[in-house]
This record gives sequence, structure tokens and C-alpha cells, in this order.
Amino acid sequence: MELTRNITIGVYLPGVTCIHRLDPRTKIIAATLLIILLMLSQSYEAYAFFTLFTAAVILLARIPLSYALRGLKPMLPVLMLMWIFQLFLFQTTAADILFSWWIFTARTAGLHMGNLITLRVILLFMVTTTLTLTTSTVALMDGLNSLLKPLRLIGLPSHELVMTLMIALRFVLILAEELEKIIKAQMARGVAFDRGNFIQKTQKIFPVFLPLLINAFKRAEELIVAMEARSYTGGRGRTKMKTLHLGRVDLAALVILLFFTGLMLVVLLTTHPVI
Amino acid sequence: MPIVVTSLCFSYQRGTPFEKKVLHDINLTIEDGEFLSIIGPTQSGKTTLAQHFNALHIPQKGTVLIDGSDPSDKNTDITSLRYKIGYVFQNPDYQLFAPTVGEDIAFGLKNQRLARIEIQHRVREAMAMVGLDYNTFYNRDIFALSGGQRRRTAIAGVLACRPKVLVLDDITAGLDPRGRDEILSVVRSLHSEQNVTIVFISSSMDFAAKLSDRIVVMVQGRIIMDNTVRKVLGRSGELRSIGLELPEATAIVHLLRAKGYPLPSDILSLDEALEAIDTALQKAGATKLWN
Repeated sequence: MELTRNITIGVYLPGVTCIHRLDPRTKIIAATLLIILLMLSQSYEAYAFFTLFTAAVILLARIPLSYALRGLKPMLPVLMLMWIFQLFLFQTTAADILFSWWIFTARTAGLHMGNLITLRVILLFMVTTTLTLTTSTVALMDGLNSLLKPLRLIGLPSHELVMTLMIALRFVLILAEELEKIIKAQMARGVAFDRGNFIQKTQKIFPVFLPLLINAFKRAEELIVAMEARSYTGGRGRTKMKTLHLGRVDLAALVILLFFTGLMLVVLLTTHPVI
Repeated sequence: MPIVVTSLCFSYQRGTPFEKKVLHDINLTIEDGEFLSIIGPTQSGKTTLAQHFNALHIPQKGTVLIDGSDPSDKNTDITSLRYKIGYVFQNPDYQLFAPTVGEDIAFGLKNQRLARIEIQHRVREAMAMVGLDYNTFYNRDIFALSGGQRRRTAIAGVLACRPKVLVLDDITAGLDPRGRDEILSVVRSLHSEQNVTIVFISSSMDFAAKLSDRIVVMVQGRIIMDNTVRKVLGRSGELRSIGLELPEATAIVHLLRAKGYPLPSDILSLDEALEAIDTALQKAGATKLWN
């Protein structure tokens, strides 16, 4: 019984590679740009090229591939479901029927669409996981803060927003650990989570969910007290011990990124979309 | 209901960069009716080991036989195995969820699908065992309980299942001295009156020495001592070097021994210490200090 083994989101994997040493801002910009490129991609060639680049970054950051992929494991059922939905429900005028069964008809376009969307989610996950695995929460927060600062002019409370986001990210692991303990405590009292019919299984959520919720509120309250005890008053007038600065590695990374974007755009324009 | 552990190894986060080996080649047998304490500093693997006793962890390497059945075997009915081995967690908040004390204690019994009358009877019995008055507490809101009462409710919820073996994971943590003494006297009477096998996990030698027959000392995932209380306490130097506090009486006697006074090394209680010091003084020709 170990839940945290399959959670990679919100986890920081300390390291000394060039990817780790990049300024968090560079990494956030890179991740955003990559996600935009991913959303524009409509052909298998583009996806192949994108996958190569992402794999290179993961390799460069010395993240064990098996670990990077592990986070996908809990998502597998959802991914499969998505693929099946696309396969059967994608509406198209093309009469290119792959096979049909009962009231379901699978079309070639649906198959391609399913492949495309599944790949997109997997790659999206890999890009964001690589970002969080190579950037500590504090660095991520500083980076986001600095990038969102201009938005304060239009009244966006950027610091508070980022703080909330980071706390949420941190709580993913904490809550997973807590969930594990609660599940164990109830299993020790004879709850068999894999037994019973649908209604019985649903009822078994309560003895787990209620303590989790109560403990989450308690933790939140403790966090508030801890923050206020250190005179936290939000972003106004806050100074930093470590200031961010862009170095040569960042410059190199940005050049590579621009180069890749250019290439990617060429691939996007020259290849045919699958549908 | 003996529990036999043979060359057990366990790692957390296996197969990830965070992999951490927490149990190294553990061999341990827990006999019927024993009061065994597992002592060790934090992160020594006590809890991980104990969670193998009721199949909350399935062995990665080595075997655990619970009353002869092996939880790694697909045909073993793990749920019914867990009814026989009660496990009380360090923090009652992980367990309590029902709106009232009575309902929470009845939870394990409802899982066993017992008859309503039987459940009622067992809840009453369990509450009596932990010293919660039935009429006062049965309908009491879970949130209206003190720390000690919450812990007693949690223990009652496990006791209601009438386990043959009871694993208590650091249940004295975070309680005031009075709440602690209450809980410990409950544990003591469970062992002596109901003949329940007790596995008592703690980072403090004090309570373990007072209560148990046998102590297992763990450090960094290994068992380094497994002996009677007196024999273990005799090795005070080693215990102190791994950061374990000795019981007060034992510590005083050891200080005196270090100064050259001829005292026995296996002192458990204050009374024993007084007696030993008295005997030593008389031998040296001094007058009796205490009567």
C-alpha cells in the first residue's frame, strides 16, 4: 500500500544538471511555449519531432525515464477512455469506416483524433512534470511571481495568486500521504475497498474522505497560524534573500528554444494535418 | 496467533529515484500472549515493520506468516486476517470519521456484518474496556472529545473487533501525563485480563520497560537487540549511543555505577533502585537510608 509511489506531479527531484540550473523564468517560459506549440500540432510528424525534443530535455535533466513515465500510470484508465470516446464518437462527414459494432461505428478520422488527443495529453503531462521535477517549489514561485508582476498594473494580485498555486501544489503530496494513512487505518478495521457492488463501494468513500477533509482543514488552519506568526501580510513590500538573474545558460536555452520553435513551425506548415 | 517474520526487506518508493530501503533482513517471532515492545528512534522502520503484521504492507522480499497464513498468497483472505490483528494508529484523526463515538466504534463491526444486537453489545464492551462511560459518551460528538478521549475512542474502535493481537503504534505521543497513564493502564489490563498479545511501538524506553516482557530495539531498519527487558536495559551504553533515553531509575543507577558504586545494571523501577542502593550501602557499613 503506497500511494505516493505513482505521484510525480509537484515533486522536485534535486539535481545539478544544466536544466536544474536554469532560471525558473526561463523554464516557465519554455514550458508555456512548448505547450502552445503542442496545441498547434496537428500531424504525426510534428508530434514525433516534439517528442524527440521533450525526450532530449528529460535526458539532459537526468530524470530516469521510468520515473517520468510513472506519473502516467494512474492516468491510464482516463487516457484509454478518452481514446475510445474519440474513436467512436468523433463526428465527421468522411464515410471512411474502420469497423462497426452494434450502434458504434469507428471511423479512421476518429482513430486519428483519438491518437492525437491522447498523445497531446501525455506530452502535456511530460512537459509540466519535467518543469516541476527540475524546479524547486520556491524557485517556481519566485519565477512565476516575477513573470506575473506586470499584471499587477491591471489589478491582478499576482503574489497571492502564486502563493495559493504553490500551496496547492505542495498539498498534492501531503494529502496523498495523509490519504494513504487514512486508507490504512480503515483497512485495519476491515474495509475491503475492492469488494461489494457499486453502491457499497461508493459508501466506502465516506470513512476515507471525511477524515481527509477534516485533516485538510486542520492543516490549512495550522498553515495560516504559522504564516501569520511570521508576520506574513501578502506580497506588498516583500523582499527576497535570493534574487533571480538570467545567466549564460539561460541565454543558450532561449536560443535553442527559439531555434526549436522555428523548426517546429516549419514542420507544422509543411506537414498535413491528420484530419 | 503467532506472527513469524523471516528475512524481511522493504523499500519505500521502489523503482524511483527516491527509493529508500527501510527494512533490512528482519527476523522476528511474536508468540501468543506476549507483550512485546518495538523501540527505536524515528525513521528506524518500526511502523513499516508493524504494518506487515496485519498485511497493510505485503512483503517485497522475505515472508511474514500471520497465524500460519501468508498475505503474499493470492488465496489468503486478508480482510478476515485483519480482524484478528488490531492496529491502532499514532494519530486517531486518521481513523475517526463518524459523527458520534458509538458509531465510530461500531464501524469495524458493521464491516464484519454482525447482527445489530451483537454490535451494540460489543461497542458497550469495548467502551468499558477503555474506560469511556457508555451513557455519557455513546452519543458524544467526535469533535467534542479531548485528545485522550479521542485516542481511547480509536482504541475502542479496534478492540470492538476482538483482535487476538493488538499493535499499538506510538499511542502515547502527544498526550499529557494523565491521558498517557490512563491509556497505558488500559493496555496493561488488556494484556493481563483479556490475554491479548500486545505489540507496543514507541520511541521511549520508559513505558516499554514498565509494561513489556520483551524488547526489540531497531536502528536504521535493522533489529540490533531482541531480549528480555532487563537484558536490553543492561546494555545502556549502546542504547544511549543510538539516542534512546533510558528509564529514569535505570539512568540514575547507571550514573552511580559509572562512579564506581557496586550496583546491578538491570534496574527497572524506582523501588528496585532504592532497594539496590540500600543493599549496597549496608554492605559498605553505612546505616540504612530508607525504611
